[in-house]
Amino acid sequence: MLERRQWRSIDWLTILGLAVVSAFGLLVIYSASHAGPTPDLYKAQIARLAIGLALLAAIMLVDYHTIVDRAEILYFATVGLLVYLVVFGGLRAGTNRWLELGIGTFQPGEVAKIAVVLFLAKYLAMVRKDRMTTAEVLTTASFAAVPALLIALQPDLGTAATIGVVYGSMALLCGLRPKLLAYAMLFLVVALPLSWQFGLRDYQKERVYSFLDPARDPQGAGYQSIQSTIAVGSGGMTGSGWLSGTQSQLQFLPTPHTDFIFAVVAEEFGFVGVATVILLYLMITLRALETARRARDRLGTYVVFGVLSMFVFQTLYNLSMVAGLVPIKGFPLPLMSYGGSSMLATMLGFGLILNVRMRRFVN
Amino acid sequence: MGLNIYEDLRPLRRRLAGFRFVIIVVFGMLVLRFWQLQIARGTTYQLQARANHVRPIPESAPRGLVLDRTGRIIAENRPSFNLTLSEDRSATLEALERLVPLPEDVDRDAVLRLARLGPALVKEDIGIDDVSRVQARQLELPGAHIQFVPRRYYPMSGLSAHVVGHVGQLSEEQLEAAEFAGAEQYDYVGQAGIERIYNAALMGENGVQNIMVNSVGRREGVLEQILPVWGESVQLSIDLSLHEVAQEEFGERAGAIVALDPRNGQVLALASFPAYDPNSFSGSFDHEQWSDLMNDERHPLSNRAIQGRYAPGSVFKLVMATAALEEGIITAETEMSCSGSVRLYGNVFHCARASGHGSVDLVEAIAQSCNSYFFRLAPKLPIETIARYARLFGLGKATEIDLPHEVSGLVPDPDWKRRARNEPWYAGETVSVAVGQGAVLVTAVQMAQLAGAVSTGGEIHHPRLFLRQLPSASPPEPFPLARHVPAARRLGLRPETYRVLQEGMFQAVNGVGTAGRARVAGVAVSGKTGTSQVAARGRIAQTRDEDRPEELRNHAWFVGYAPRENPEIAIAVLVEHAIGGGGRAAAPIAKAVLERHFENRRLRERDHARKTAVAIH
Repeated sequence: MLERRQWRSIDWLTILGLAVVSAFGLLVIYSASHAGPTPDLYKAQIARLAIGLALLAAIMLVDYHTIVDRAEILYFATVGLLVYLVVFGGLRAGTNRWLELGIGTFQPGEVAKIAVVLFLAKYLAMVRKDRMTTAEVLTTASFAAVPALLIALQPDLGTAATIGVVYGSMALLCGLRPKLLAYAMLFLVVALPLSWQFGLRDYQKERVYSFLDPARDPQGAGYQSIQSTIAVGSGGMTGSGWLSGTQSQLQFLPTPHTDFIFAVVAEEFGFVGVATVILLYLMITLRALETARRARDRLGTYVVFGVLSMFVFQTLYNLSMVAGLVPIKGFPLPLMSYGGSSMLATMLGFGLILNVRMRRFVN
Repeated sequence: MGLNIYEDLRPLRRRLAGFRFVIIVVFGMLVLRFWQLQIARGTTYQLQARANHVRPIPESAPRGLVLDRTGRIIAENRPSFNLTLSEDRSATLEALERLVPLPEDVDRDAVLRLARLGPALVKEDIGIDDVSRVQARQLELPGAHIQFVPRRYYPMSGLSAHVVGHVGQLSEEQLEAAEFAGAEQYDYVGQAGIERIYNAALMGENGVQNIMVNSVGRREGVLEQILPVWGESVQLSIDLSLHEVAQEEFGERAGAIVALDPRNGQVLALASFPAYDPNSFSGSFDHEQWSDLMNDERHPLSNRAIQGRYAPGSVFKLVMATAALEEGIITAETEMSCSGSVRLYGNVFHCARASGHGSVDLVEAIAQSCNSYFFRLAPKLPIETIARYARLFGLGKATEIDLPHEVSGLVPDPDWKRRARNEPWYAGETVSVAVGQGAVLVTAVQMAQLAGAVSTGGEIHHPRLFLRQLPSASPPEPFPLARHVPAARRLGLRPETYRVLQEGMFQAVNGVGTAGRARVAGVAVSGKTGTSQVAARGRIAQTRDEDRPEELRNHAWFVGYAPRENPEIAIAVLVEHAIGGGGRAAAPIAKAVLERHFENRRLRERDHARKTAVAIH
């Protein structure tokens, strides 16, 4: 099925990077949950990591051109699913983002992001000129906007925003006329206050307020931010050691095994651990950028870049959130946070990136 | 879709390089941000993380023991438990209220506010039932602690209340005072007596237990513990057995007794009646109890031995006799006649014996307390001279005994009168002063000191309660006042003067005198009685004491020492509003105390002899 040269082109370094970061994530999940009410979380995460790696391998086997040929089916199926969720969606955690399957639940939003990347890649690859025309911009923007709005209605603003960022960076890569870029900026400037006024719910506004001034409600909305900053800051150079962080072990830090897992890294492994993990993420990112640059066609570049922009945005947002730089939003840290959907989506995405890399040579 | 092998990918690659640059910069900035949080501000956040999960629970230091000179315990500590809250959790406080009946005046908001800073007191000295109720539900009561607190206990109750004093919670003002440096909020510190004056040494050093709590305030373990250091222990010079006798003798009467060793100033007994139970102050004080004590008309809290100011009555004749002898107005042989009254400055002054004493010399005048003799001295001695000799004996100023709030009494002279009343001194007043009435005021401890000075032939030692510091495990904290004992001084009078005073006092007890009731078999007791007039004029002065309202009865003094040769105990007894004068009301009390003192000594010597005999065999 695979040619010899394709076998040789498998990017083992990236796979190693993903495995190392995920394994480190397992250690930290164990530390953050072993003393709590659910000490066995790390076992579930091991299973997901295994399934994720299998998924990554499976995706690599099928030529990405074959996959992208079916992008419409994936895209419209996803949109249909999202419409179904909005109309009939069951309630879980107060939002309609989960879908009950026989064997468990998953978030169609995670699949939607991949579907949008593949669908956009396919259409952007057909743009031959150096810059998109206005018609092309509007068409492709609507491809992203439809699922993004449906997801925003769930409401899951984080995933919707991710899709927006993914579209924005892919459109930038494709090329925008300066005038259009200026309009886009203007649109954002007008849209932000409007969405603040009409789009955001009170708890979402509260998050922004408490980001701007965590001390205004230290036991309430500002609590997570304050405790996360204390956890990070108290780590010092080398940290308090594995299983020894007081902020996480004594449950001062909220959700230490999911969204704030990096605060545990910072507390228990200090700046040394923080810098090492950030460098690993950067290494994985630069390697993928290299793949995008050396792809054999536009389609490959867009696929890799779309997946990567998703990964980089979520990573940077999560790390910035832990560092107290941006308002708290329920973004998991790809590869490390406890959670199945995020792990599978990330591995699926890197399956596509590796897929493009191993097929970078023209026959 | 087909393969586009010949695409021009250069613009795409150019833009990818741009993204690459941006990504590296953003990752780099993140690393810098973590450097800022973890390295530049790391110490601050480490402190905050520690404040999150460490709760310091202070452990009170037990106060040092206070013993009497025979080793009996006056003050010790008993275990007790306080209920405290160390987290700002109203739910825990509500749960505690359902579990343990809280005092009605507990300020819930204040407790919660204080709880943010450290353990806040919810209820003091709770019973063992409450302790086990709270312990059993510890898991449902995050932030609640049972603190073990040593509580001051006085096993002898009120027997030496005015010497040992009592402890009480540190007040807001005292928290700032240098006197109580090292004491913390809720600490019990000495508020009166020995407890107050030697508080710094008795107090010890509090320890602390740093416990680790989780985010819901549940205790997770002990991080470190600094054990409290016991306070220093002290042995006092008082002999509780003398107090027991005095208490029995006084009964329901009010008054004071001071006994000291004239050779060195050691206080052998110092008591004030009525007494109070110092244990009342050691724990939670209910307000009714407090106001009862404060408003008691008999003032049990005041220490009459050092704070009660009384006219000395005839005891002052010792000062007059000294002045007259030293100034050469009379000699020991000078006789004067007493017809029962003396007419001076247009007034008639009465002697105690209406029929008169006939012709008496100075020794007889002292022994029989003849007023006429001393009335006649008054015109020959200026008040300033009398005041000088009174001050020489230590009257008119504090003795500097190691107790707080001693008063100085008053030796009147024209200066004082001009200042206090803006009036000149009248010659008639000197006549009153000559027999210890009028404006002159003394304390019992001054009287005991005066008796001691006569007995030793002029040695005046400062009275001391501190005898010695007991050995302690750690390097001892010196008792601050004990180091600064003022030096003894000598009066410097002529030997003949002392001889006359001593003879007069001996005859008062053993000859024809007023103090016969102080006689002790086998011991040569010397003494002088006095009666401090409360109602000096009018018809009431003519009635018998039994027929007067209590508050108009006179105060009775006995001042003396024993034995005559080599004196070892000087004593002053004052009975307020007594039935009968010094001879009838005060002398028997002194006799009982002196008897016990010499009985104790005899038993001690017998024990010693027996031990020595055993040692020889």
